[in-house]
Order: sequence, then C-alpha cells, then structure tokens
Amino acid sequence: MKNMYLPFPAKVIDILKNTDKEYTFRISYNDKLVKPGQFFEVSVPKFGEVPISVSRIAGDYIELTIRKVGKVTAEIINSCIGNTILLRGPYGNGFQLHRYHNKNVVIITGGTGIAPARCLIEYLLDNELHTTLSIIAGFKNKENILYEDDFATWHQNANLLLAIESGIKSDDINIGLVSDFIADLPLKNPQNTEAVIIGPASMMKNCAEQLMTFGLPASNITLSLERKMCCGNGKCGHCRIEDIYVCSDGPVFEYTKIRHMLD
Amino acid sequence: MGFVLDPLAFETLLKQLNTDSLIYGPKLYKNGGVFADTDCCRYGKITSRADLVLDKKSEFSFKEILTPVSQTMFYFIEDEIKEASVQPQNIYIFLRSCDLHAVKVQDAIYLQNGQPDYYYAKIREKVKFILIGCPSSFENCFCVAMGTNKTDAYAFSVDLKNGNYYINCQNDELAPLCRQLATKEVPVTPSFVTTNTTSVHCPPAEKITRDIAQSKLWDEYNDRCLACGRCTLVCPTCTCFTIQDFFYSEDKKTGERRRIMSSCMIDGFSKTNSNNYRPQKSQRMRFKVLHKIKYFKEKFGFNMCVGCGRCDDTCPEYISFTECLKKIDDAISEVRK
Repeated sequence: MKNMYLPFPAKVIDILKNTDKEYTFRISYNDKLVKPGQFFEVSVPKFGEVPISVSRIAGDYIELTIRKVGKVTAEIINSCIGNTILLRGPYGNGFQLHRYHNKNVVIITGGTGIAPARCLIEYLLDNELHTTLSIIAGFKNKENILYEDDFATWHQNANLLLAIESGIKSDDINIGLVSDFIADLPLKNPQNTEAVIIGPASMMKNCAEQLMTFGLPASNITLSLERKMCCGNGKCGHCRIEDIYVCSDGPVFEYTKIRHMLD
Repeated sequence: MGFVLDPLAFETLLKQLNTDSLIYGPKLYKNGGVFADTDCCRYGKITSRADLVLDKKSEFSFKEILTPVSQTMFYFIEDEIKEASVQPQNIYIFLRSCDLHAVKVQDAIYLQNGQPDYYYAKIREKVKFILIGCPSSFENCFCVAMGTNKTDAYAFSVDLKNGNYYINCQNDELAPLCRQLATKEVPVTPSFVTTNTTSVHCPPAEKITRDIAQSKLWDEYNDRCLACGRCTLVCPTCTCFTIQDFFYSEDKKTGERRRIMSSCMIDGFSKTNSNNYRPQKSQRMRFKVLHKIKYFKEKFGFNMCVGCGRCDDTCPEYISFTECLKKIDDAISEVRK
C-alpha cells in the first residue's frame, strides 16, 4: 500500500516573483498526472505542509503560486534555495473540463483565486473548445495584481476585465469589487453559460447569487473552495462541511451542492 | 462455541495470547485521575487478568491503540525522510459492544473515505477484538437508543460471572485453545444491555433540516463550552487529526512529522488565512452533534455516535450530548407543529 503522507522531491526549475507576497514556483512534473483545479500539499520538513493549487500545467512542468501568509509559506519562499521542493498529491477532483465545451464561459476571481483559475483559463485558450470566454479578475490594489504578463494573451482571446478595490482608475484597470462588474458581462444566453468563481467565501456567494439574478442556473456555476486541508484525503476532518470533504469531494463544487450548506 | 474458564485457565489464555501478540484492555491507573486520590480507567497493555478491568467504563476509548493521540509518521534526518516503523505484532483489544460499533466508524473514515490510510490500515489488519459482556448500563450510556448495544463482530467474548470467565468463541483458530483450557463447554451468549438509565430518542437524520441551525438551542453552548476538546478526545468515533512537524532542540537538522488528535471544538480548527470558520462555540457544537447523528449517516449509512456517553462523563462543564439530542428532537417537533 502506498503511503499517501510521504512527500516526494520535485525539481524546482524557476522561482518567479509575482508580488511582494506571492511567488510562483515552476516545478518539473508530468502534466498528464494533474488537472486544473487540483492541489498539492507542499511540504517543508520541520515546518509543516500547506495545500497549494496548481496555477499552470504546461508540458513537463507545473506552477504553484504561493502567497506568504504564515510560517510554512514564509519558509517555502524564504528558504527554497535548493533546487527541490517536497510535494504530495495531486489531490481533489479538479474542474470537469467537458462542462465548458461549446459554452460561454465566465470566470470570476478574487485575489489569489486567480491561481487555480489561470490553469483553467489556459486550458480553455489552448484547446478552444469553449465558445466565448469572459474573465473578471479582482485584486485589493495595483501592487497585488498577479500574472500581469499573461494578460496580453488573455486579452487577445477573451474578454478580460481587471478590478482593484482601491487605487487609481486607468484604461485597463477598473475600481470596485468584482461583483460590481457582473452586470457588464455578456450574459445573453445564460442557459448556455458556465460560470466559475474562485475567491473569498463571501465574494463567491455574492457573485453566484448575482449571476443567478441574470438567469444563470445554479447548476451552471462552479466554485473552488479554500479550506484548511491537512491530509488532502478525507481523513483529518478539517475541511469537512456537512457530509462533504472539500479535499477529496472537492475543492471544485457545483453551486447547487454547497449553496445552502451549514458551515 | 461456549466455554467456561476458571481464573487460572483465563490467566493461561492471556499468557498464551501474549506470547506472539499484544493485548490491550481497560486498565486501572492508580491515582491517575484528574483529581487528587482518584484513579483513571483507560486502555493499556494487559499481561495478566489482574490488569484487566471488566466492571468499569474506560474514560478513554480503545481508539488510542489504532490512532495514537500523537503518532510519528516520519523522521527527518538531514535530507532523508525515514518512515516510522509500525510495531509488527498482532493485537487483541478488549472492548464493549458500543466500542466495537465505533470500530466500524473508524474503518469507514480511515479506510473508505478517500484512499485508505496507510498507518491505520497497517495496524488495523493486525487487530482482533474481544468483546466484554455488558450485563448492565453505566452512567450516561445510551447505546440502546443508538442501536449499538448488540454485536457479533468479535473473535471471542468474555463475561465474568461468579468468579468464572464465560467465553463465546467465534474464531476457529482460538477455539481449540479455549477448549483445551475450559472446565466445561456450554452454550454462552455474551450479556448485552437492554435498557439504559439515560433514555433518549435520537432524532432521525432525515428529520433534521438545515433550519435547525437557526434554533436558539445552540446558544447556551457559547457560554458553557470551554472549547477544551475533551469530548472529542474521549469519543471512540472522533477521528480528526492535525499534521504537525517538530524538530529536536538538540539537533535542528533532525525532526519528525506527527499526526496529533485534533478537535472540531477547539479554536482555529478550520481557520484558514482568509477565514475562521465556526468562530462560535455554538456553531462548533452544532457541527459536531450533526456529524454524529446526521451527516456521517448520510454518507455511510449508519450513525456515527455509538452512545457510549464518554463525552458526557468527561465534560468539565457538564454539557450533555443526550440533552442536546433531546433539544434537537423538541426543536423538530416544534417546527412540525
């Protein structure tokens, strides 16, 4: 039997600084073994583990975007001087990619929620199985914007709207919450639209409810939840909500499933 | 097959089992209680019948043997990761019917939910269970209401009556040994509790709706609960743990990764960087209680709570699980009216 708690070393090809707090680790990994929406437990011996979702799957490498928020993440970023990182996974169900075939896709992200979404955005743009793609990406301020380098490519093939909560408005940056811009989305055919929302819990709920007022059925909305996932495999109980385990049953859920759940 | 063993023969049986296996059972720890001059009955290694306590409810459950309170998973030695070894011997565990039902709950979570748990599976395959007959109910027990007062999932059962040990052996490998030691062979049925002094009606899972979260019944737990987590630590069906790393103060290059029993009742159990889920103790009580009688059942088909009443026994604030069940039951009927 495989020891699922045993991390394996993976080669770090590059570390890219996104913001003062966020760094993207490019790691050598077989792309066939992981899909958008899944996550890894990143391990620093003697410090602990953190669940990090995959932010890019490309040929022979993957990327993990890590935000410095606590002891373990700080240690990963500060002391990853060697060329290996310990991982276990991938865990979770990931996005059901067939859902987006021939659909108008709307992706709304808040903050680092853009990390797992980027994986999906790139899958859609690479495979062109969807009909249209609209993205609303929100951040706290200009300094927090992630993946700016990718925006040019996304602009060409998708309708991208950037929003920051505070700062100065410019040609390509709007001021406000992501939910303020839902009304601007081209939602002419809500039945044929699939929405993906990833971000803080209250933001996801607001956006989902708003999308529904525009006629989008709850079954066409998927969310990716963030929880404290210790084991990644439905054992430790930290991520349980009612009868679901976010790590193994999720983290990607249809809104119908979790809309009324008791936390 | 039923056998009667006198004390000497039972002692020989334990010694025989002990030659190639470990035996765990409820044991009395003199002055090991919470207060001065009080004892504690909890699980420990049994080497003689004098160790074995058959007439008390253990304060902690058998689960410490399958999932220790603190379990080392690996050692970090410089750049090397070394898996912690699992003790190789077979294990016999003495437990009561309610606890044997709790094993099913442990199995469901550790073996069926997601991939099987490596450490649990490794120890679980070595374990056989010995049922302790329960002639009468203890304080706070409500096994009858939970349907866990009877079981037949044991290797053999033990009832101590008039100084002799009555054994019902269901294990073909152990039957010859029992036969050899027995003073006589008679039909034996292990004693099972048929009534509890604590009577409660467990509200059916399907009758509990999400509206229950709005009920005022949870509010009192905000004031009473200390969030100490004792109820979940003693619970034979609670399985939650946290993975933690340690390094040795003498040598910073070495350390270990452990999993440590955790509790949904304590602060920060579900806290992430962006959100603290269930900050209030009333929410945690609801989260725990509904898992025990609703959500686990909806996933696995049987109730999680086995009615051992240890949570009620141990709570420093005298919070009663059965009283909570009664309040839920009342709240449901109130809504129906």
